Amino acid sequence: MKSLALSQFPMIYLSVTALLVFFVVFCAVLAHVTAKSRDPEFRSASRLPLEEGQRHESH
Amino acid sequence: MKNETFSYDDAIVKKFALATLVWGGVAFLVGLIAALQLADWRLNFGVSWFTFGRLRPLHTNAAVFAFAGNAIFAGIYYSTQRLLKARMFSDALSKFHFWGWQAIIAAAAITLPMGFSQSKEYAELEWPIDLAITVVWVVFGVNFFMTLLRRRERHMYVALWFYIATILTVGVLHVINSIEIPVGWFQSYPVYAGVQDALVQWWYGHNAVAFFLTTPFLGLMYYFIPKASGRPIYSYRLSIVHFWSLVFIYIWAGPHHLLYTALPDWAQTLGVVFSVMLLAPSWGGMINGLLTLRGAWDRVRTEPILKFFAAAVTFYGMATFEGPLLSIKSVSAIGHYTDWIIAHVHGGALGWNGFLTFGMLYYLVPKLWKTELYSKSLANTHFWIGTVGILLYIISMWASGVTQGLMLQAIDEHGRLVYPDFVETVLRIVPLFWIRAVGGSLFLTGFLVMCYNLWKTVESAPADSKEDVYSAPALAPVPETALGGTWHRRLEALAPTFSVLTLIAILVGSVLEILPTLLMHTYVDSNDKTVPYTALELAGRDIYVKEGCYVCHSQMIRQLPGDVLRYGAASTPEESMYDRPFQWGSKRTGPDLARVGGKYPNMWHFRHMIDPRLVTPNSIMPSYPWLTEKKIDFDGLQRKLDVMRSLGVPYGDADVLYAASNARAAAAQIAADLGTETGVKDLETREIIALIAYLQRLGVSPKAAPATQVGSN
Ligand code: HEC
Repeated sequence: MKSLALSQFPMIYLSVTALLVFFVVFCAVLAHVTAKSRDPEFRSASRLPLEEGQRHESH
Repeated sequence: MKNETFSYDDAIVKKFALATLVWGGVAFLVGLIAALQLADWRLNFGVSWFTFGRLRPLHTNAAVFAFAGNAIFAGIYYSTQRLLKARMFSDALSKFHFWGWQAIIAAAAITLPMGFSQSKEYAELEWPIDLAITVVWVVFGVNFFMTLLRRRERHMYVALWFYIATILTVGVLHVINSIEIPVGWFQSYPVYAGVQDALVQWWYGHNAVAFFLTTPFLGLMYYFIPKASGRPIYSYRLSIVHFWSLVFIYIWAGPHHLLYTALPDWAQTLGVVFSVMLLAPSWGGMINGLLTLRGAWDRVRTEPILKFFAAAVTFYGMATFEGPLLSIKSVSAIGHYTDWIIAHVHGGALGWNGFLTFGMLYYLVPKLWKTELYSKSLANTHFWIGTVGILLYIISMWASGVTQGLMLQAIDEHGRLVYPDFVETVLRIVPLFWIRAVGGSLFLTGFLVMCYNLWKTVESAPADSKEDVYSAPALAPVPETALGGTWHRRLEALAPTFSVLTLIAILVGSVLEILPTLLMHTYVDSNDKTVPYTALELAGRDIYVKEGCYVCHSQMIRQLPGDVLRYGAASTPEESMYDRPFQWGSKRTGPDLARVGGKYPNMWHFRHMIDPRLVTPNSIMPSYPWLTEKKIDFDGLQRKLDVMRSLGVPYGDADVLYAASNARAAAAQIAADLGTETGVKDLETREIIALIAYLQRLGVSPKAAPATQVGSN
């Protein structure tokens, strides 16, 4: 009885909703991220690990 | 803009790097010992703290939290300061983090062999240590986020997002999974029971893999691969998509550890769907890492650091292909509970975490000590020995897992088990355990070669290693870029907002998945057919947990023909509804025990525990001779039952009040049944009696017998 009730638990709709929300947000991010206009911005961001501030001297 | 000068705290990075080496050695060595114990049971030596059941948790904890943990911290402290062009917020907090973490590891290394364990995988440590972990983790978080706020680089590079996700999520996971009620200084019961405990634990367990062994290492990958190859990451765009989809999807995948079990179907289905979806972001990350090395492949051939990185990312790709595959129900039916899972985790742990860490250390140590690597060719040797070791390990365990999985599920045309004798399937794979041990030895040897190489490197370092001074413009209060940039750029610039969004992403999945299960008692009539354990049975159960029987035995008969034919009717959620902690297990090196009660006489169990070979020739199970020496803690039982009752187990007042005397009476009955043949003095006070009481109760429901009745077994 209990396992039956559990297996037919109704909250699955919540999960499906979350999945849909995720999908929509995902598509939006994807569209935004792939915009060509952001090229220069990404180029500078991706170079960040290669710089670590200007080195002066040891002290 | 005015230039500010500053220096980086590299002393803390050195400390963590050193700790990585020390604990890595311990983790690999204990792993090798455990592997050998499975190949030859005599290597358990009949010594309680040295048996497989106690060493395996030590091995996993050392590998995950001590080796990988210290490696992560070394990498994070090094890269965060440089990416933010700022020193860590507080050297004192960094030191507290370091020493606190080492103290926790030391406490684990002492308490786990002593048998102080909650039996929840990667969360075995008992409550005082759990509290310490919380404190140290918060200190780490404060130090990290304060550094973020004081940064000189507005834009937060992608590696930092992964660190943020790690810090927040691990905090949430640890706190929620560790809600427990102490019953003594080194024992506690979780507030969750049965199905709930299983779901919360595997939500935690899976995400420990996700947010302790994946996201921080991805952050390290995004920093150290560009750094070591001198090339920016292949696609920054891809990294954004990678990050958000990974953190959102990963958190749902936990139930794939519980397929065909008593976990509600909807939760299982969710787990499968999200696990399969995970392939996309995982491979997105892998491709991004590998393609960063495009055009540098000639250097990969000669440069050991890049070799380790390229191999690590490849192993990551392999493991993240295998994971979704294993989550498909029909594959899980064969693979779950077998060595296939062991192969899977070691592809990830040795290949991905291990090799990425080694590459990082080969990069970091010369940089930190301002010198050159002692020997490139030794590093190359390490690479090849390590790779062969990993391949031997995972190929032998694949073979072992698939062989045993198929044998255990094999059914002939008359609907009978083809291999009814469990030990027969074990004997088939013992040779593979030896090959695995060879693989592990090679991996360890490679590691030692690295230690020697790095030691020589440090030895050659110049004596005075002063801190370098750097300069960078201070951050303007109102960043022009933030005003002009696009929304994600602005988001990345706003550390607090970004962190909150990350938290939301992981909480959505967590809440939707866990809450319904936690609330289930409000939807289902409470069931009064399940009878709680008697005091003696509970004492036995605690011994079962303490000895780590769960590392080899499951108590969960899946809804699969092979399982049901072998072990009896599939387990139901009611059967474990009072089980704190749940004992469903994750690996069947021995048979399932969910319905072992009544299968054998007490005497069989007695002899089997003293030496399994007395009743099952060729068994690889360790002997437990000390169970006839150690005494049952009768006096602690009242408090244990009291705590259980406060958690909702229907014990009456008399059950609690007379717990000790009830248990003594029940123990006397079993001792009388065993008779004088055993030759053990005061047998009725020994742990083995309680354990037998517990084993005889498994799967047996004393039909609505009042729990007060003594000696119900
Ligand atoms: C190294 C793995 C390992 C550990 C740890 C281990 N066992 Fe076993 N166990 C086995 C194997 C293999 C078998 C099958 C061979 C046999 O009967 O001895 C087995 C069989 C059993 C059986 C008989 C099951 C049956 O249906 O025939 C019982 C009962 C049992 N174990 C109890 C325990 C208890 C209690 C502990 C902890 C104190 C424990 N085991 C720890 C590997 C292990």
